[in-house]
Amino acid sequence: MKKSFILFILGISFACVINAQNNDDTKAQINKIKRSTQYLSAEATMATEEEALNLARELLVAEINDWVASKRKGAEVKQVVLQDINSCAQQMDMKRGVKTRAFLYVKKKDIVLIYGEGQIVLNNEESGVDLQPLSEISTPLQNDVAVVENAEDTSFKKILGAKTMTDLKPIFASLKNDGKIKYGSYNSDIVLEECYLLFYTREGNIKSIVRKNRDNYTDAKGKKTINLSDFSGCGAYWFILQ
Amino acid sequence: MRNLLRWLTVAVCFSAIVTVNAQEGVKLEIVDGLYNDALKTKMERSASRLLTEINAAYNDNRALNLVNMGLSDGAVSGLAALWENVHFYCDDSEVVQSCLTVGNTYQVRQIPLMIKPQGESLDDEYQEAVINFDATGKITRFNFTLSTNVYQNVMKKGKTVTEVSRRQQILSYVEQFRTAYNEKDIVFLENIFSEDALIITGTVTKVRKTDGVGISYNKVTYKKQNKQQYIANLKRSFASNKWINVLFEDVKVVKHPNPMMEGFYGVTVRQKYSNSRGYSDDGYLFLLWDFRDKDNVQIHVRTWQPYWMDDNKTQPIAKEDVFTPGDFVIDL
Repeated sequence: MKKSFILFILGISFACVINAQNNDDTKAQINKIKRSTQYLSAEATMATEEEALNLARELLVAEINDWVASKRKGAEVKQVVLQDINSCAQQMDMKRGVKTRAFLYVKKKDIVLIYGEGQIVLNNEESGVDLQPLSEISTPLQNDVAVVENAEDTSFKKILGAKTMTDLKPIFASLKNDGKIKYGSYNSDIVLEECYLLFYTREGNIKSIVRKNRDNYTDAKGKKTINLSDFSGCGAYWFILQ
Repeated sequence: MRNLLRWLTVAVCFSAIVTVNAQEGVKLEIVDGLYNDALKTKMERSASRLLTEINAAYNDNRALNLVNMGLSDGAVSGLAALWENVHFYCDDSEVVQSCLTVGNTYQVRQIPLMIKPQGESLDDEYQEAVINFDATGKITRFNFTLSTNVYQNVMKKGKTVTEVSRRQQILSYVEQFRTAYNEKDIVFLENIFSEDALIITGTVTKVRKTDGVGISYNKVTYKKQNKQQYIANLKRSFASNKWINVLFEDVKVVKHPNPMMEGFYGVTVRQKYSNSRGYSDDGYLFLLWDFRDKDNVQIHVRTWQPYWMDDNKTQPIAKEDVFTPGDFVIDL
């Protein structure tokens, strides 16, 4: 009985030590991220984990907005294609007394800025060379998109090869440079009789390319009818190959 | 075997005790928002020393020793008064935060504190603090903060740089005003209320209709006090209570709608008050602040209205009944 009690106390005490050690490790990790210039981060301590996460998310969005505004061409940014914070920002949480601390962070490189007419820029320098490919965290292209049999084959193949908006950026830029494409961000106010629509998720993954012919929307092969409501919540670009 | 177990128990329990004590050495690091290296280093050093002293005093259960810390007189007296009423420690050995510029002063927010339980609570209570610095990097105030969500909600309504700056200033005063109750800082409260301040306190009373049916309803009746009466009552309350705890939630800042009242702001907060004698209340506190003279900020109106209209706490006071700046005309 006495031995069991001692073992019980030992177990409890050991758990306390391990828990404190874990907390210390998490705190050290959080501080490392805060010190790094590669990340934007936010934290909140609230009564429940959900409240803490919601507030940290709100603070992180504010942080991202401030960061965008402080950039050289911040005022020209038309859209910030945020990786969905729920899926791309890493979260850490830990206890502060009876409250819960949530810490969210996102890599600056994973924030996609869209300037003006469809020019996709991934960071301030617009160099594109130091970017971590989004493909590392993306899922494969979900829809089957076949090659179209016409003169725009080569250009279209290149676009089909892009799995993410990061991949797409240099392809669009190169085709635009060669005068082989016209494109822009798409919304319901834009009237185009014939074009392609490229849908992408908030995570920056390209979901599908749809052929638009007046009011008909088909897959890229032109065989299967597509319902646009399938892309609810996605961002979209229109493009015309020349 | 028995001896080994005994020693192991002692060793592990000792380790566990050590980990729940406040870690004495605290290092504060400013990672963003301040680009003058000398100033940054000065602020980091003085804040680190202060937080380290707070943790040492907490562990030793002694008074704070703030001599030669380079704090302003206001910061020393405020902290000493706060410490008399409540003990706390910094929860992290490394605090990494950004610096905010407020006018020509600085703030480091989200300093994580754990407060020694007051009243019937058994758990340490989490509270964040803000350290205020003057333009030279000297610590001028150590305040408990409004919660981050409350602060954020007020700040995001500021659209222009001037508005953002004014809102920061207002919240800074609100934080000091709130902490003044924890510190029992009667001098600050005497100074912040204008001499002709209007102080109104509401209480819920049950009113019986005289239509013979005997239906009763709850109504708020108001009692008016002048500054001297209010301060006298406050002094009595401070003297008879070991501690007073004031929490501010749902802060709303509104500019006075009358263009003639430029510089006047109404601040409405949901105040949760409790003291060591077991009294507690929950109500809307409305303060009409006068920021025309930034060196002599004043409160002209303070009203308190109960949050709940019934004993069962099912019926909150109607939003339209809560005082707003437009309800008060000040002779300028």
